[in-house]
Amino acid sequence: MKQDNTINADKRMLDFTLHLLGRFLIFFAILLVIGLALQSKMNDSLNREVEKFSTHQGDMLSIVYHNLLQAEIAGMTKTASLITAGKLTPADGVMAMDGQGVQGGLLDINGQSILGVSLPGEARLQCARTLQGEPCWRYYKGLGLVGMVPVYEGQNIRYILCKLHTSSGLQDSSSPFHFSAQRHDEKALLYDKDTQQVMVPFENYPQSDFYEPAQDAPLGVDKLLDKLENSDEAAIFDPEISNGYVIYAAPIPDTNFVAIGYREWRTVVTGITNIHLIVLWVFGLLVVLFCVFILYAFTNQVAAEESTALREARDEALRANQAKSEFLANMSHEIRTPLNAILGMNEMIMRESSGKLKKYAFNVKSAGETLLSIINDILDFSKIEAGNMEIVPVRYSLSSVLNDVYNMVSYKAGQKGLAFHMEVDPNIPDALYGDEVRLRQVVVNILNNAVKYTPKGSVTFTVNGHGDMQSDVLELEFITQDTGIGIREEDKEKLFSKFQRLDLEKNRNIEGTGLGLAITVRLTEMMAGTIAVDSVYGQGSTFTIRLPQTIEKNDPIGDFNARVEAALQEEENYRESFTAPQAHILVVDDNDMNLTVVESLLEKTRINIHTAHSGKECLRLIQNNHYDIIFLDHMMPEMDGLETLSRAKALTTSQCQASPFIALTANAVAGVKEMFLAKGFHDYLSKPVDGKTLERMVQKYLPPEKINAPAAAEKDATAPPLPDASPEPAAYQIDLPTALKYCGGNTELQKKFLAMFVSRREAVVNQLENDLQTGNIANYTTHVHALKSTSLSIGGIHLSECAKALEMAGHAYCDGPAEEQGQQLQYIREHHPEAISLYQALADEAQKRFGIE
Amino acid sequence: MKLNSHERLRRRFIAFALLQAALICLAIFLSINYFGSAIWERRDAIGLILASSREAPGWPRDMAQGLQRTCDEHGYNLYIEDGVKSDDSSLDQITEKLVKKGVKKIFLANPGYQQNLEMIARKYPQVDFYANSVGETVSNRMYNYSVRYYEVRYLAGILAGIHSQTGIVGYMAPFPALETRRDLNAFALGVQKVRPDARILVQWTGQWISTDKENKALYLLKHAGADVITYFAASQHPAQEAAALGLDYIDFHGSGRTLPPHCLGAIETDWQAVYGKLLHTSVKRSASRVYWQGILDQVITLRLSPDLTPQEEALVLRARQELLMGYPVFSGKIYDKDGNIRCQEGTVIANNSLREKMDWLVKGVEIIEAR
Repeated sequence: MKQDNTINADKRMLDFTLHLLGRFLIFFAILLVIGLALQSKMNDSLNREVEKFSTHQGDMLSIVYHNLLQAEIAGMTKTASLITAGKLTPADGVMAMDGQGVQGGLLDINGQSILGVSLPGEARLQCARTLQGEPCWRYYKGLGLVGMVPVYEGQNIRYILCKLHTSSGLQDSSSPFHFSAQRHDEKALLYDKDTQQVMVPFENYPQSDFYEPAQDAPLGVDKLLDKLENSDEAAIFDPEISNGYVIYAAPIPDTNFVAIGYREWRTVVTGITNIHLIVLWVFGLLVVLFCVFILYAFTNQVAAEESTALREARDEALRANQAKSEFLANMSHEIRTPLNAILGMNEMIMRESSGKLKKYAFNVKSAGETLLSIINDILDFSKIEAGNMEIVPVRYSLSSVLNDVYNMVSYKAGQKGLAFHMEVDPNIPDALYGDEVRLRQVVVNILNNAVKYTPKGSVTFTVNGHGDMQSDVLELEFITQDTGIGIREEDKEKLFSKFQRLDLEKNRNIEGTGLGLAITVRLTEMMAGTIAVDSVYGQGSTFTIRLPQTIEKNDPIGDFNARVEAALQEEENYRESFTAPQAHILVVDDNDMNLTVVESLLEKTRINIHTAHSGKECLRLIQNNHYDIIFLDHMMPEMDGLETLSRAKALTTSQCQASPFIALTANAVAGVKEMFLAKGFHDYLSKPVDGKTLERMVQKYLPPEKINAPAAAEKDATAPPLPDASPEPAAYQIDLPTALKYCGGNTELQKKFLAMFVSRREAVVNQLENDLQTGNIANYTTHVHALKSTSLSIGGIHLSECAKALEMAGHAYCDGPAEEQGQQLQYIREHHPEAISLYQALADEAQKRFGIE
Repeated sequence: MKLNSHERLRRRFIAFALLQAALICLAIFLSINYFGSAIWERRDAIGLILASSREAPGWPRDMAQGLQRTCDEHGYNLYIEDGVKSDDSSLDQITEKLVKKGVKKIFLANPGYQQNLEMIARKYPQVDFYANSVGETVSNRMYNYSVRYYEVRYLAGILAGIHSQTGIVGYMAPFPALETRRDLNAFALGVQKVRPDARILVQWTGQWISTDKENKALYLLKHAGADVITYFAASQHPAQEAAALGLDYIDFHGSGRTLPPHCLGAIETDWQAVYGKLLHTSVKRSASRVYWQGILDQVITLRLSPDLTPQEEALVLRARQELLMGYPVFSGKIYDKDGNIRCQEGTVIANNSLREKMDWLVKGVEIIEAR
């Protein structure tokens, strides 16, 4: 399989490379074609420019030859005019013209030779032209170049004077027309179109490259003459004709002659070739740039393709994850329903049974609860994964949260024989704004973990607050320190990943899904907090969680331990059960087992319980009977809880219009409570229902007049036995049972507390007096509040109540309407001495009863 | 399935990319190829200014068509402006219009423009002006061109001399001027060459174009006994009138041959050749500013009627051959009407005299004064 992958990857790599190479080559070929086109175009342009430039050369050449011919004519005209004037005889005139390669001659008007050179018959035409007034040149093959001028006699023409430059004379470099070979890079010759002969060649013409023996003509003359047909000058640069030379030609005016020149291409375009090179160089650079760009574009494209593939894969994974989450959510629901039944029935067994059977049932309960917590973890995690987990900030009391935490953890720690210490900074504000539920979950998870992985020793939980009074933001710091097994350095990174359990060998006995920390981390992050771990393997770990919370009210939490005790007291009080024989409640659930559980759990309250198996039945029943509370299951076939509720509310014949509806559901996911409340439920109870919670809920919603005190026998059975049950004399300031309760029944501790309380009397009294005198009622309220709790904890019920009254007055003074302030202050001033005297009485009693100084 | 669609998409992408590349390539290639080529392929423009309509039979149409053919052959653009009057400022406006169109050479078809042209030519030094005249006024701003009609007149004279039964030939012309005298003299020399005793009657009409006067002149010539006539006029009307009068005639315009049986021949001008040579000559570099082309340049000829007798035809052709060989018309002994000798035996009247100084008529020419 792995090999297969490698081959595939190799093939893909090869494919990709070939692809890239192919495209690159195509583009390169295109560029090459363009480059070649540009090159040829540029050469073309350049050659045209060269030709254009050379036409001027031809022009110059033609002018030079023309001037030479003109000069000849001028000389002849002068001779002719001398003859006309009679200053020179025609014979002398003719003689005067003779020279090397030159012969003079005199013709009559019909072209017949009179003197000197004799010309062929076709010379008569030249004569006729001359007679028509044009100075005239003709070339005769084999003879040479003949120029003619008329010799006048009055208004008329008598003779024609002619001058012959013989062919051999013209070829000689001494000829006046022979001016070429002055420049080595330029050759010039004179050509006659009529006879197609070279009249005046340059030196070594027949041996040069510019002579074409096959045609007996100069190189490229045909093309030049073709071009001259349509223009005044012509120039050709054609490597096919002459490599490296430009040929140019221009007709000599008033003749049939053409001046032809050859010049080296290089000398014409010296500067222009530089431009040529520069353009090619720049184009080359552009090609390189373009290639780079194309490569870049290709790479980008490949990256884009890959990212598309990645995106698809991610979507796929997300879909799978979504499916998994849905599956988990459904499964948890499916599991929770029967689990509810199991736990409920087990509760019944535990109530009814004793001995071994009870122990077994207890085991069932313990296992069930573990299972439930695992399912909850999975559910939570799936919710987080699916992004359905929301942080719902509410106002809450931090002390209440810590109290719950304490209750849950100290129990477990105690069971394991661990010491659980909790240190709460008394200055942390109590009323905060944040997601209480999640905060609690985070803290409990971390603490549970600590307890779980600490075989012996202690777990210390420290709560600090680093607040910023201005911005109302408090950073809560929860430090969990244990003396547990610790975490290996290399495992720390894996610590927070999901389903990850470390050090399995050592921890195989410890149950868990490995989700706890992952959930904790996610939740912490969702609440914008941080989590850090510091651990020494084998010695213990320290987890530090920091969570920012908004301060709702700046009242300090105070002495938390005292509060815990107070809360415990409340719990204790609450624990006293009740009976309500007049009350009627309705429980709606499609599952018989669940109905039985609820019936059984409320059996002792003697409440009249009706059950219904469906929403329809429920609607029928509420029309016939009045119920004080209706428990409504959420998930039911046909008509679910929400629909049933909305129908019930819309039912005008219902006798339960005012009755509270409480949702009963196994769906314990975050946000469900809010959902139910929003839908019109009064409250929400998650299955499996435990007896205590159910009773509390019933007590909460039953009309108070229907609640009776619990039967005496039952109260005896449930109330915890006090260490010292002897009745207290009414005169005693110190209520010993209360004091002992706060000290866990430890007499020594109670005495120690009491001693501390008495010793602080002076300081406290001074503080209170001082506050009162300075009129700082806010501080007074805070201090009297502290007195209230501390006095209660040592059993000073009267003092506590008196302090409580003062505190209330203080609060009213501080927060209440202005017109009542005087009244409140009056109350405080009147009752303050009472509290002081009670404190004094308490101290005296402490000395008398417990011998405390 | 998914792979398929991906593959399809990929193929489409590749095809699209290739197409794009090809298009870009083509565009670049074409732009490189055609960019800047306009400079090389720009055609020079030529203007022709006519006094009458370009469709008018005779000179104007022949000139316009001839120049058009020349321009087509050599790759010039031709703008023809016709109906341009010579006696107001319209020539100036038309010239400006043509120059704005980028015209580099302007040909003027009528001699009458000569006066205004001087000033206009100075205004546009970059333009070559070609005036249809070889008269005296020659400015260095412009070039003169014309055709040696006298050579063909000489041939016409020979033809008329042989053909005439009465020995009297008629010649009708607008008024005595250089051109008209030159032509008339050549004609007379031709007649006298074959029939030394012949009378040559000349009737001046006094107008370049005047149907009435032409009709009248022809009528007078007929009644003076002339049976063969020729004429010098801007229109072909005299030929038609002559035919109507039953006179044999030699037409001054090429299209006269289409009117048998009275037409003996017609002077034919190859304007395409005339203009071709002018366009081909680099005028700026030439010493000469006058282009006076003739039978040696093969731009004119006397087109003979097929109905001539073999003798007539042979004589005319022989004379033409002589001209082609270089025989000068105005050579040998020539007397004028007043008996002065104008040319000695063995001499030729010089070109300049022909062009500028022919203020005499050949002996034997009789001028009929209109009564």
